[in-house]
Amino acid sequence: MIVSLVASALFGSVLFLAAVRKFTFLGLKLAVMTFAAAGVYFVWNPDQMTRLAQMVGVGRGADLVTYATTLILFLTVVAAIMRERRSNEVLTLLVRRLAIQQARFPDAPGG
Amino acid sequence: MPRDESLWFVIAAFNEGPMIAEVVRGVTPHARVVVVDDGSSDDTGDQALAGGACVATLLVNRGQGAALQTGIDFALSQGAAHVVTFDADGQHNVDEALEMVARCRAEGLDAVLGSRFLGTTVNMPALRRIVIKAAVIFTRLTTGLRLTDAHNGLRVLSREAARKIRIRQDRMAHASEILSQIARLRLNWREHPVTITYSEYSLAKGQKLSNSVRILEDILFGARS
Repeated sequence: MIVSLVASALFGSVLFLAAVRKFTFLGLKLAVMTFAAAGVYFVWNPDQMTRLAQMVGVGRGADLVTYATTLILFLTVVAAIMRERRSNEVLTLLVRRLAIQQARFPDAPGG
Repeated sequence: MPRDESLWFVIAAFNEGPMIAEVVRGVTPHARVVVVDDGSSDDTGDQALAGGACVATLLVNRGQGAALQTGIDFALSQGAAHVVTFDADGQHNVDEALEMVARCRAEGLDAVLGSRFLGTTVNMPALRRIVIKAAVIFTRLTTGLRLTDAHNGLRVLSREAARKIRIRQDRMAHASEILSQIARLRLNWREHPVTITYSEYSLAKGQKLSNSVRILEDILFGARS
């Protein structure tokens, strides 16, 4: 019971945040909201989760949850790595530009 | 011979304070020098300036690839007709670099690449020889360039070649990247024998074997152009 409440609160927060926040893609916003809403529903109807799992060929509902979680975590990590790489490239461009703009020349004529 | 104002040596330096001024002074009678201080924590920048080089400072350490690209951009902005990439730790020989420049001009080449295996090596550790030979084979397989050496930091690029080659690999994989661009751009290149002197200082500063794993990782998963 307590677990269900906590899980509902978590999914509920995600649902609320996704509804309030601005997303670059509307599709992503809807996907996150659908996912969170489904989370709340399945927390209180675990049997439905099992039915869904059997429909897609996975034994138990809990197994399906594990697979889905792994997949989402994996995608999140990939997205984070790509974001970090992009910001690294931007940092390099910035630092390089700055280095050229602020280059120091030696006292002797010419350098 | 008077100093060639259109010839620029680009030296990437990370914590090379003890040697950099001496290395710069070896070049300044012949050519202009830009030292790119790659976020060093020591006095590399000041030492290089005292030695008579222009100094461009990367405020955050970005790696040798990023430093070389910065130096090349700076040299081009100063009107360089030829660019020499040169190591900061005194491994390379200035006279040989000047020979390479002369050859680049005389034969109208886009790039002249130093080869320690056509030339001589002084005190080269056996393990390093094996790693570099492996890199040579790797280069031949991936770019089709039939080199005798890979990852040699001594190169001469014509202005056109320096403008075309864009280093996107921030760290050490830039050596492979430069070669693959030379192949892709169909640049006219030659290898030239050079002497690499492995002093105690350069060995302490140079590439560790473990770095080659990082380089391979950068090539496989690093930035794509």
